[in-house]
Amino acid sequence: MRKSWAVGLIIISILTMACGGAATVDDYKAAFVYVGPADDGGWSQAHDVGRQYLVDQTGIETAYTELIPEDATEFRTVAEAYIEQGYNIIFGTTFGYLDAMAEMAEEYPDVIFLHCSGYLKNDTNFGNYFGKMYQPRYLSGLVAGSVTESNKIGYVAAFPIPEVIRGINAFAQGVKETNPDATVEVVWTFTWFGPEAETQAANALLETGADVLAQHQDSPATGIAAEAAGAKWISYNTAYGQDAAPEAFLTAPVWDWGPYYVEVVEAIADGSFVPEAYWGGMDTGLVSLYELADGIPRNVEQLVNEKNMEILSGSFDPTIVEDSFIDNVIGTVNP
Amino acid sequence: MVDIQLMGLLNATLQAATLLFIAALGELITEKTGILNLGVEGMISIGAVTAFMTAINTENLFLSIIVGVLSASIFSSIHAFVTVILKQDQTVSGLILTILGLALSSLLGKKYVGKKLMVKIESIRDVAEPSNIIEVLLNQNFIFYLAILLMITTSFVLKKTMFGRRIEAVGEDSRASDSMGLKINKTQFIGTCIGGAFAGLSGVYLTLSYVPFWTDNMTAGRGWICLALVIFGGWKPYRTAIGAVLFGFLEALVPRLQTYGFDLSPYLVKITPYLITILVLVVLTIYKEGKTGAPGNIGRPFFRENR
Repeated sequence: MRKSWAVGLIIISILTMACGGAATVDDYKAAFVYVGPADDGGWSQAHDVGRQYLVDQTGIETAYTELIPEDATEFRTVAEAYIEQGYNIIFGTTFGYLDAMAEMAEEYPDVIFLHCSGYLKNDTNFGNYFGKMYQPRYLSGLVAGSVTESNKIGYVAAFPIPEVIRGINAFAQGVKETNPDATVEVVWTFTWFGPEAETQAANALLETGADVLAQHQDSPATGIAAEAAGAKWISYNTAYGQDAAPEAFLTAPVWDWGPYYVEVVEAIADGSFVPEAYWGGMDTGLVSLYELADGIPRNVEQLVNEKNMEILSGSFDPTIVEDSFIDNVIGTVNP
Repeated sequence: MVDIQLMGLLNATLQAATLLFIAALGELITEKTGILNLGVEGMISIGAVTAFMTAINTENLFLSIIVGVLSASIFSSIHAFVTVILKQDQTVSGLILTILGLALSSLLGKKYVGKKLMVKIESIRDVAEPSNIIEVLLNQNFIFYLAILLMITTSFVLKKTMFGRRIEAVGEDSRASDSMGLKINKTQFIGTCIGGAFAGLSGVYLTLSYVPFWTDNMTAGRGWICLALVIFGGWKPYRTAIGAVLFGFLEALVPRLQTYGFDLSPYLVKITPYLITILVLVVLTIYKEGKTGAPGNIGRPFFRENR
């Protein structure tokens, strides 16, 4: 049995050498590790849609494991099982896998590790990737500012970390442009995915008189609360959440990981891959604003389109502020 | 505006308290029979997920409530079987029930994550922004009123009826009760399943009213607060209800503190229920020589043969 494997391998390697020696996508298998359910209607689902796109475009063999907590041991167990099965590209799609991925990249030099939202990398087999979500968040702020009647906008936010803070500030910057009188009030939930903490926070904001809610959360709970109170809602991650609250849904800054996954896998396959800290903006298609719901005034739609074009062409970029809130935001960055 | 915020806080307090109270009352009954069931978290989850699944598939609220309550009760019979019939360790079995319940509910509910519920347990009168206490009360649904009814009934049954005295006797001193001819196993088995049914009703309240959709770990540690509540309440229904309102208030306060502009860490507020419980235990130890109100036999399996 072992002999026939060896013979097979030799034949395959001769064949590939005959074809010019270049590796192909067929030499790789990609495994994805998600923090939430693959169909959470949010963050993890956005990655899973990207994975399916990757399969459709390149035909690479993929697998995924969902609901893996942000814990080094948990991640390692899953990743090692994949490596044993011959998977040689591992995508870790949440920040908390950082330490485990950095360690494993050293232990397994033949496996490529790609970490979403992290900041560590090496020169051979460990890179990270993320997107400029603050750009479409700015656009969604333009919509929120023009829709609010009470001039109070609520923002349900997960953790006071730079990524979230710069999103809030970009959003508030958009709000300010269409409605200088409106304020953006922030409530922290201290969870990425906690439907009831999100519901409570949303209700608290609605009670202050907010009539538009935005979120940096992974569940559609904020939308459901908004809909129940007759308020409007700007979702996040994917547009799938809109089914949860169709009446409240205005739009959503969304992720589209597919093209990046295809790009990076093709680079790995043709040998041109160099680990990097990839930070894709709207021009790469990684982040965008989902199409606006019906009933949003024409002039707002036009403004959003204009700003959209400006960001795409590079002539405009929302200001990045990560250590404090800008003046129309109510809340604290050190709760 | 202040009124609306205050009434909103009260409204959220009552909702959070209802959920905590029903499961805690069930655990109180179970513990009164001398069985400690640490599986509250798991039982609430099972009730929550089965009720939600039924509601999505049949859009029949009545059926969903029945299914939620019954499945949690049946689930709790695992604990009853292991501890009452097999006489195994109650702590271990209870913890397993929590872990099993959470995992099982995730498995069952996988396809239902984020799905929108078309039916929901409606409040008596829907007031979007209640402005006085009457409106807040009317804004609750029937489970809130059922909880009050259960509180009165449970207290009455435990104190005034023969059945209640028997439950208490079994929990206090199963050996003496056995000599008196009481059926220990039967009482404890039924007590555990009633506790499961109550936890199931809490679960129903969670997914069909409080947060009307399903995701993993919906219970978010509430089962443990229920256990603390029983201790806080000294195994008395009315005091447990007061505790539920207090703990519910803290839960409702966490997200609102930020909108009130207070600079208090939400983490601090979240640990308060446990701190208060420990404080109550300390105070009881000092002033009442440790008489917390716990049933004398709690946690100890009853072996008829061992004299």
